[in-house]
Amino acid sequence: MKKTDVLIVGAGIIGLGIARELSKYQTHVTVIDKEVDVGMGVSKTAGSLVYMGLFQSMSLVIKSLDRGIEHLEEETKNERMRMLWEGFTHFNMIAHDLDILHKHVGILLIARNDVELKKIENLKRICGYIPGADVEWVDRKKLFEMEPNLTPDAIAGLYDDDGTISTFGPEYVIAVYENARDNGVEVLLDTECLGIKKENGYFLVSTSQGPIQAKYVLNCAGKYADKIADMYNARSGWNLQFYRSQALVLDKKLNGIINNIVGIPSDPGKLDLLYPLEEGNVHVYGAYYDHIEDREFVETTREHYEDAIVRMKQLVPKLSEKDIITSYVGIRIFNDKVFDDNLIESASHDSNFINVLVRMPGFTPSSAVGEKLAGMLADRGLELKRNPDFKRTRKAIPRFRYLSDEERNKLIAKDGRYGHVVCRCETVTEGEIVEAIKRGARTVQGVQFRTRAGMGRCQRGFCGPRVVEILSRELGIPRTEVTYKGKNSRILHYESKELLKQQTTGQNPVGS
Amino acid sequence: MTNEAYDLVVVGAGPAGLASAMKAKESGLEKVLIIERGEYLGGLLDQCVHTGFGLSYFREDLTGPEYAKRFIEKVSDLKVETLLKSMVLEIDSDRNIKYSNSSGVRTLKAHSIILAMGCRERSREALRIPGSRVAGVYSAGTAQRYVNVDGFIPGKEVVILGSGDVGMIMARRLSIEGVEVKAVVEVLPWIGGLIRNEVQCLRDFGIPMHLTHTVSEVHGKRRVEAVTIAQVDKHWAPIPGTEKKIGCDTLLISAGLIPENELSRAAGIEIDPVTGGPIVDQNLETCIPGIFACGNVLHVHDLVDNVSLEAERAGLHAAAFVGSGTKPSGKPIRLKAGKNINYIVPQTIDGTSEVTLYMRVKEPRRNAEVKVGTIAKKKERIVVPSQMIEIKLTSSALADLDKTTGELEVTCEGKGD
Repeated sequence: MKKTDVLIVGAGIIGLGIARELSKYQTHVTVIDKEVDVGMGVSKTAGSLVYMGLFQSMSLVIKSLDRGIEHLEEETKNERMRMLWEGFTHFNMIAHDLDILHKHVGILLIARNDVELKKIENLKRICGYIPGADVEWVDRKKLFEMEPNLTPDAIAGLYDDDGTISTFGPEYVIAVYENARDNGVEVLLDTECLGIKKENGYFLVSTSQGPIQAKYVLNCAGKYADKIADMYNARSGWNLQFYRSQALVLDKKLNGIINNIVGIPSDPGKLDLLYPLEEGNVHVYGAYYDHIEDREFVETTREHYEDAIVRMKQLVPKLSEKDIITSYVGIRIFNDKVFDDNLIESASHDSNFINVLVRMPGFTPSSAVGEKLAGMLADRGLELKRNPDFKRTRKAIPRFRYLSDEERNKLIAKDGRYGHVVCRCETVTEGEIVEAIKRGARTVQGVQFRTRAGMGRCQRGFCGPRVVEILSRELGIPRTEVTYKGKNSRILHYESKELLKQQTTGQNPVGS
Repeated sequence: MTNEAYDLVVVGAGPAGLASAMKAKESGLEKVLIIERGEYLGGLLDQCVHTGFGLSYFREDLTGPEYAKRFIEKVSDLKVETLLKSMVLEIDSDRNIKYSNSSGVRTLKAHSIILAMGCRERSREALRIPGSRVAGVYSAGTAQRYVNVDGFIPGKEVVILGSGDVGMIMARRLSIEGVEVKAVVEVLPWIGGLIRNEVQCLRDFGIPMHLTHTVSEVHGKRRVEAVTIAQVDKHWAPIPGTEKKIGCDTLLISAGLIPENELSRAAGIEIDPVTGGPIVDQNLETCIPGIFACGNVLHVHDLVDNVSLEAERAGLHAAAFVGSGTKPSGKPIRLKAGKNINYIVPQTIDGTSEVTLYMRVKEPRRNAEVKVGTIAKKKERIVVPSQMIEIKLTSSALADLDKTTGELEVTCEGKGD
């Protein structure tokens, strides 16, 4: 039977962030996840921003306006805010160590009338309570100097030049994963947690790949945290609540159409923003605060498409639905016990089982959450001896699109596949795809998140068949076994003539 | 390395690239190179294993690979140089071309360039079809590659959204493979592709067609399990109450092609918002002297024969440009799309030499008359958006043209359906 010191359930940014932190010590850490890749739950669609400042103030105001702002002072002195600030200030170093693409962007909220003016004035006051928030008032003239393509209706704005960092969420998770793995963390994918019990003082966790014995269990299962807690009767008076966001990604030919994140101040219950992504695309982000029952309700809806199109044109009239290249839905989770806060606590009957429920945003505080959990485990008797071999850094897969010709030629001289462009929209080479598979990509989406192949305007129209071919070749599996994102998502169901043969021999086609 | 100068570099080895290189070489250019990102010459013709190619160019009914082979042999006999698996990364207005392949990144100098990059398909996301984001949704051309080049069948129950030619041809191709094509769904009140494909690919195979319908939702957890189709109103929005769910494991999209002009845009070439291709004059020359465009990168064609003919003209003009280096001397006259005309290529003429205009109508008309100002007209029994209309401006017609005018309007009158 597999044995480990710390078993983490869930390979999202929180689970892997803790695993990486623990890999700084000589302790054995195992992470399990039911999906075939990391970050496939909440992390994958979490909006990809690391933020404090003005952005954070909007996050506070969403459900609080009616309660007045006096209570906010209290709220901004809590541990959650401390971890957010800590995580935010550490991010530059982490991004540097882990070779993650990122860009500091400003955020500009505009007002088009007196009501909105009041709202941004209010936000300015709230910013006073947020660590590091440094905002300035922008008059109409300056507004259009900063953002020439803004709606002419804008009359004033509130600006924070350094409170948000744009990154690509899945890339961040994958970088943390690779570094944790490099430092000895065992990450078992396609391994679903099925039951948790205690035997002879150890946890016995049964999984779809066999049992694992552990001294400590950390429940970092995101939108399934309640189910995991229930397996050990470790849920004390809380339920999860789910909210949707739906985002559009626009063609990167629009690069430069906005320079900052721009938005209209949010109403309680809704958040509307456009932001320029690191790679040049524009992101239209809409977060909704109507509670949904089904945590798997990740289908895009016509209503939210239309809403997003109206909103983006309201802000930047030049934008058109013709520029949309993709869309996605994210699920945000809160707990109903302390809606505004994290819930990081042991099971009432066993301090060695810890529920780790981090309120959104998760990317921003993830490193600080890791440190907190290391401390909690030490308090519970885990010996934390420094790992002298800890490798702080991880190198990204070479990004052909950003290299100089000299660097490209060096790479190609070593491996000619780095000269062969497979994804034409994002300029991704075969060398990058092969390297992604070597590092753990098992699916078309896994390749996409690691290299950007298929993330461009043709949406895998051209590179799709090539990526399937390379995955099949490198993994030594038939093309009919290659999946889009893991089980039950095969791309191709049959070989040529297979259906005909089955029909003529009277066999039922077995496939889907 | 920037010291290798070519008379002509053609970007793309599909039908347009091949025919233009052929003609340029035949017209006397010495060093002609085709750069192609794929593994072979012929572009997408290789996956078009059906017939219907060459009816006007060769007066024969050929398959795509057969049609391509004739041009491939021609360029090989003419000693046109080719670079395969090579991606052009950048073109600049001085006609430097940077490309990458497994031997490295290099830059070439070209005296002239022909853009022949072709087009891409509109994706599900570009159509904003709501629902699950799952495996099993492919553009029709991608499915065609899977089936005809790679040898795999995506699924056994298919719905096709859009009645473009590739979609209809895939409906037939998949039916022959034993796949059940459960519906072809078209948002317009008419079929999007050629009439002959409607007859030979859909009607002959008894495939249900749903006009003025769309796919309003995709269902499934990780792979398509069903789609909902619905009738649309005049804004193409689904009409509540008309929804119908169809079980299927695959959705193909055949809803239009988009010229691939990212390279052109980056080079500073002006793009026509209607065609999605470069704005060209009667010589198929873009706003950058010495850079020409032809085939589907210029505007989406319905027949490859027309692509080849257009490409030959581009080759001819590129050769003339390298020979003389001059632009046409006349003042450009802009062709204006008037009543029921969607676009006209070329976008400008100077009236000094004979030229054929290619255009599409916006809506079908019967007993139609297409007029170019007062200098030319043509009667057509039926005009539809999917069928390109050609009008030749002869020298006698051009003799009637007022060359000081800045604009010439093209219109199409006729009876509505």
